[in-house]
Amino acid sequence: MPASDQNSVELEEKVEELNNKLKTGGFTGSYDIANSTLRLLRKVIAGSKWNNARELMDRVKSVGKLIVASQRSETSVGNMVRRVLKLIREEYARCRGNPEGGDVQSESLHRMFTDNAKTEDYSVPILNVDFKAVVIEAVNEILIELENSADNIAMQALEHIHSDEVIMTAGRSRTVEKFLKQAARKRRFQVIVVECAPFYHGQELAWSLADAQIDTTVITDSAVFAIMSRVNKVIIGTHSVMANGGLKSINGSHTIALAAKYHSVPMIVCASMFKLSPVYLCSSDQAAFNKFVSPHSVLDFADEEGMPHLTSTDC
Amino acid sequence: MASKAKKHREELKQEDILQAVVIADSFNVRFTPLTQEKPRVLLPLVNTPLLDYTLDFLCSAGIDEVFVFCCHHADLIKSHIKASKWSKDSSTCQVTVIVSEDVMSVGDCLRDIDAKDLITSDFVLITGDVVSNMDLGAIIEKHKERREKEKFCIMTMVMKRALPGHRSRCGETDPVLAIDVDGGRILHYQNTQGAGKRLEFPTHVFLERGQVALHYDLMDCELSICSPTVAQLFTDNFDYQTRDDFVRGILINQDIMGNMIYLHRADDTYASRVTNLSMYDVVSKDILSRWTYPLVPDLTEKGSYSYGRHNIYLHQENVTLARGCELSQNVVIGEGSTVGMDTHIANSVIGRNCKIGKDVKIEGAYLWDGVVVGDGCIVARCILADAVQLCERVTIEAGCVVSYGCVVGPHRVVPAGTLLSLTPIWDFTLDTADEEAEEDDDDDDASSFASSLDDDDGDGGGGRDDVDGRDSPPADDARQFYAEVLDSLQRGVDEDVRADNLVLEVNSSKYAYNVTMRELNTLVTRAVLEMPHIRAGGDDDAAALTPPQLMLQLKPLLVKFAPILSNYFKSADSQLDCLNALEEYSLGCSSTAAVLAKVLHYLYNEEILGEQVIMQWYTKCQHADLKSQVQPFITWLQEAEEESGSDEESE
Repeated sequence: MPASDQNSVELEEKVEELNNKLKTGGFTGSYDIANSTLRLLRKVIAGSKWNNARELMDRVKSVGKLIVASQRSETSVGNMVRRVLKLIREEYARCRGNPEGGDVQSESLHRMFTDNAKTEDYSVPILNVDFKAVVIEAVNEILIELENSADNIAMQALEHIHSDEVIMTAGRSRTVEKFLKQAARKRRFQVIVVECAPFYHGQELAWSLADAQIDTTVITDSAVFAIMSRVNKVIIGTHSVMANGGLKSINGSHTIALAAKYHSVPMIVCASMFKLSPVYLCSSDQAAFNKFVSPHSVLDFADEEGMPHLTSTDC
Repeated sequence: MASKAKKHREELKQEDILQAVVIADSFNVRFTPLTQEKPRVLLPLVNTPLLDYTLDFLCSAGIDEVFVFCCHHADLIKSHIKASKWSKDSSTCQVTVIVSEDVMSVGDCLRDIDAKDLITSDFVLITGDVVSNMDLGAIIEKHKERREKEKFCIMTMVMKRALPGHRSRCGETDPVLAIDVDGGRILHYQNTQGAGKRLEFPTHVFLERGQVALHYDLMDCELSICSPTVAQLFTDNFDYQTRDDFVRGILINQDIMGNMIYLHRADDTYASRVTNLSMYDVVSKDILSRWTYPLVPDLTEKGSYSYGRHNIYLHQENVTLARGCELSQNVVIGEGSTVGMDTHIANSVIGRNCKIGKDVKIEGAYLWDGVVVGDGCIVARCILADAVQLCERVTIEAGCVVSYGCVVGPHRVVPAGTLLSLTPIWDFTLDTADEEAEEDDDDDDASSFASSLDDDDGDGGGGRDDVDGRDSPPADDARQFYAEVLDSLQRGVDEDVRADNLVLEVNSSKYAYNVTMRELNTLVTRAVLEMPHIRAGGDDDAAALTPPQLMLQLKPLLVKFAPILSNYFKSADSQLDCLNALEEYSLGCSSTAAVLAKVLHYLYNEEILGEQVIMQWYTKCQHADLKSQVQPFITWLQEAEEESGSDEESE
């Protein structure tokens, strides 16, 4: 049908666009990436042709694989895809109802052992309800939760930040910024921001906090240990949380954590749900661990001595 | 049935569509013999065709319409683009291929585009072999703003800071620029290659300006943002062949026509053009060290390469690395390739489906798809094209290019700077000799066009064909001129034409055939000498005429033509030419040699030839028998000099 062709072409375009933006680094943070991915998946669910949950899940998986491959170090993409797949399974189970008549508790270990004869392949089409609408409704819920995630965390600020405290933070995390600004409405405290070379996002955060009338100091990365003894709490954001509870975060976080441990300063990490990832990164050689960009911010291209690896020019 | 992208494009027609012109032909042969089968823009650079880098760069900058101009191997480029992602409906960028078989330069391409009326607004002019990660959108915006304020700004050239001697500065274009400090307008542009140690700047560059900066630390990124006027200017000026011609023409006329060219400095981003083989090497290394991020192997092909320490890129499908093999740094291994045991690879790119044997050392080499390297080979800085096979224990030295399908036999050493090819290599040294000589490149493959033949065990090596285009036209011209001179002189004798008129006739022949003065001198002398033989016995050799007979015939001719000869042989140089011609002719004709002394005597008496010149010629003359024949005359001459000298003194 012409309409579906047009749809699929449009979808392909959107996927291409997202891929390109990921590759060229057009996003400013993992929140934006998660948001765009979720909206794209919603479009895919609404726009593609599928008959049952299995086909839908395959479609979502294939699109997800494409996007994940564009930028492996962005784990929030994979997280969002997995969440959508999970909610499809849940909605499927709920709509089918439970044939045994028990409570729909979906997969628990107990059920896996007792019901080993029955393997769910999600291929039965749901006829009594409009499955598409149900799934899209659920995706919208996740979207709302995503958009409110930073605010939800900020609401707990007053429990953690007390008056006349010295808080250290690093880089520019949207979540932490909201967190601190929320607390500043009721409490007076002081913030020390580590600027975090080579991008110096910490300086931008400092400007923003100063505009909100928070007492802010900017320090260099090397001064972290020296200042740590005067800090009451360290609050940082993170890029993603690994399966073992480890963080993939802005450079310098490890140093800050070690200094905090030495001085027994409590450290709080503010992370939304979409940052929790089942990925387990144990070695810096893994593809998803680092994102390597051009050296132009560190080395001067014009300077010949900065090119160490070239063999001598008389060849 | 239009998709959203197409609707989007139609809406944009009213506003400004961003357009780009990609010239997919370089109009030179730096990559011979590789470009005999594939066009330069489809040669793989780190396993991706060069054109893909340029198109990726343009599409990610938001260009809506790209015109790819092809000449050589246009069908291959067409099919490549058709099969690529830019031809899909979902692509945001529309790529159109324009084929024109008889364009010979960038200027011709632009004239063609102007004739086809395809350009509607400011466009990006770029060649198909540029690798860059610049934000073109911002540069185009700036250009447009400048055009709003200043109607005559027709072009913005993009350059990047790189100190002299930097490896990325291509040896062929070494520009020195004079820039107006406020505004960035280019006042003077000069290519310093071959210009020696002195540079001249016209004074109008410095007059009436606040501050002028002279820059030698800029490298040309070979991409420019042009306004539609540029195409029209190319049409108006038929002799603009390259962009450099255009720039120079505009700058020379900028006071008259008012057109201005501005400079954009793109110091933080990367842009470079693969102009020749050494730049191929340099840009490959830049890509491997990620200066061109995000145009890097692990991102260009849907994440198919994994990136590891020391810039090791391994394709994630079917790469087999045997035990003991070592990839030290800056290595790319393509899909399906296998590397044998104890092999060392460093600073190299290995393509798809290659088989590398055991104990191989590969250093600084570029292996394209399907290359088989036998055990124990040593491969230094070189390019091995598709399907090349190296049998065991072959050594390939630095600067070699082995073209498609060659097989190099076991235990061979391929000497440095060799080009190997299965098909004959067209030798274009006659055309490119000047530029090659002036390139002060390291002895790289580009400058060594000496294609030595290696008897390969597998297949025959290439042949060398001389494309002798240059020599024949001048030779024909000289012959025709000579024939005309002879004709004129014959008629002069037969019809007793005045010497002045004969001089006029010879001069007009000279201009008609574009003969130089030196050639004229030589040929006129020859004509005079040859006339007796022709008049005597047609084309018969001079054996027909004995020296006395010859002299009898020659003397009156010399008398007749003396005014002509004295007209042409005024300067010492021309007299030397005459003497050389005499010598040359005498070598070929023994009777003339016999009478040479008398001829010289006559010419000296008539003051057509001076003593100094004759002595100079005599001392330089290398033919002993000829010298002995003219010896009596010379001795007389020397005595005559002394006499005349003493005469003058006595007076």
